[in-house]
Amino acid sequence: MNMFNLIVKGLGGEGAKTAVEILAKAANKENKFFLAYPEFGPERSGTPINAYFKMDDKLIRDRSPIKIADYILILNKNLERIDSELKKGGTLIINSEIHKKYYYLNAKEISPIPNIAMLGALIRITKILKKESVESVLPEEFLKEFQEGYKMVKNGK
Amino acid sequence: MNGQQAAVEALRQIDPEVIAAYPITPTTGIPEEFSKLLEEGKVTGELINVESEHSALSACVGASAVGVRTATATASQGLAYMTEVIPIASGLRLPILMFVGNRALSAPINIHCDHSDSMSVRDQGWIQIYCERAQEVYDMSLIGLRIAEQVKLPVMICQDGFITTHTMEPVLTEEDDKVKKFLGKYKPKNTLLEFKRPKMIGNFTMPEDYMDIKVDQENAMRKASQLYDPTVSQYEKKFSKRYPSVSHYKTRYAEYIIVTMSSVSGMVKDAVDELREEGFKAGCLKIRLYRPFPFKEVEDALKNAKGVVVLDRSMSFGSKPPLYSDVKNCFIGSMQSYVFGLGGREISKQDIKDVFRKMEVRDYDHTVRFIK
Repeated sequence: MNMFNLIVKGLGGEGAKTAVEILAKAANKENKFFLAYPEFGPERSGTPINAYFKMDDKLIRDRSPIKIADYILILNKNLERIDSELKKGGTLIINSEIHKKYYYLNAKEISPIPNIAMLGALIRITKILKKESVESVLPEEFLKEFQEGYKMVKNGK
Repeated sequence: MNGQQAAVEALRQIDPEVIAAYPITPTTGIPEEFSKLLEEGKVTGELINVESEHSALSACVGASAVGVRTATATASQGLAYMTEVIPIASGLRLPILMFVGNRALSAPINIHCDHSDSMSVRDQGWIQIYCERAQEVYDMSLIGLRIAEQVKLPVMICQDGFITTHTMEPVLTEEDDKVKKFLGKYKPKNTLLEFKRPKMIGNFTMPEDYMDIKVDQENAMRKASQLYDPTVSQYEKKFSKRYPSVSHYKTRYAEYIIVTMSSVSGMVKDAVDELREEGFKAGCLKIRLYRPFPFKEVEDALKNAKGVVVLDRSMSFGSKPPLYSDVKNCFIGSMQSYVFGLGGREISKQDIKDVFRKMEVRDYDHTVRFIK
């Protein structure tokens, strides 16, 4: 398989960092090689941040931030100025009531913090990891959000 | 786990009697997670909460002089604030284990990765090991401590701030019993609290003694050089993981070689692969053991190269950067110094490929160049 690469975009507090950490734990369950890391800086609640997730069957050596991604997960629809970061033919999932171009999930209906529901959507659409692997590393109280996100994601096209 | 958690897992297995640390970004997680282990009863040592890094290392010096295993973690200004105690730890020949999350020095203030902090104390008699990944942090802390205790010198295990300290990646850890057996029980020859053999540690010395003590320190460093290979072989036999003092990547028939350290090595190796596909004979030499410097190994690795570039992540203002200066002692051919990544400045694979290509057209000079 080619290296899977994902950018999670969100505002500080929406759980972008936690989202890639959960993917890392699930990838560990499936004995994959992976790197999961957010951008660090003078981060504050409410400012835009990126978190990155790379996964492969072999050791990943390049630890630099992803510039152009095959997959993008947007936790906040106000951050939709990202076309330049998405590879042509790439997959984008956005937290939004409706969208005409991309996959979308209205995560607000599920939880005030969108990250776990959006992970559900990501796993359903991309199938990069088994649903059970992610569920096994999630704290029990978040299982429902994850499963609802998995169920409710829609294709905007 | 991330690089900090890898350090904490090693610390759990080492179970030092005393840890004293003043948390600082990007190694805050080390004392934090260790204190959790203590609370859960998974380690037996004592965590001394101190008011500064100067006190943290002083507490380690005191505890180590009494004759127990000690460890600390710091970065950047924290390491700078320890600086007064750094040569005391090595001068007193105390094998303290220190984790460094390499971070830029102020001013201007910056929390991101470069090597200015640990490079500023490279001549102070500590063994220094630079790690590319969290896996190396775990393994090298065990290997480093084993060597440190045999030669009675303190050791710094350096990892890149954020790039390694805060990146989650797979880490293969070993069984507690096997690790404990590899390290053995720590039995120092001279300890402070032997009432039948009273002694002083850290006395005033006159010119007739001081220099001999310093020469002894240098001899200990040479012994650390000699012990490195047998110790990593022993580790490899037990755990099937190999950590030579320098790691070769396609250097054997390479015409052009980049020498570097720590996390950027991974990207250099990716660039080497891409250039090889284009028929360009590139190679990467990663320095893992920086002090004592593996002169012979570097010399052997570079001897057939047409050109060599050294990528430094710190400066020596007014002179050539540290790694370049050391490598220069091992190679007489065409060489170029580049400084990159200060304060976390990004470097791309294309930057590295450009550097390789410049060697091909014999673009060298005597200045320090910057990848900006």
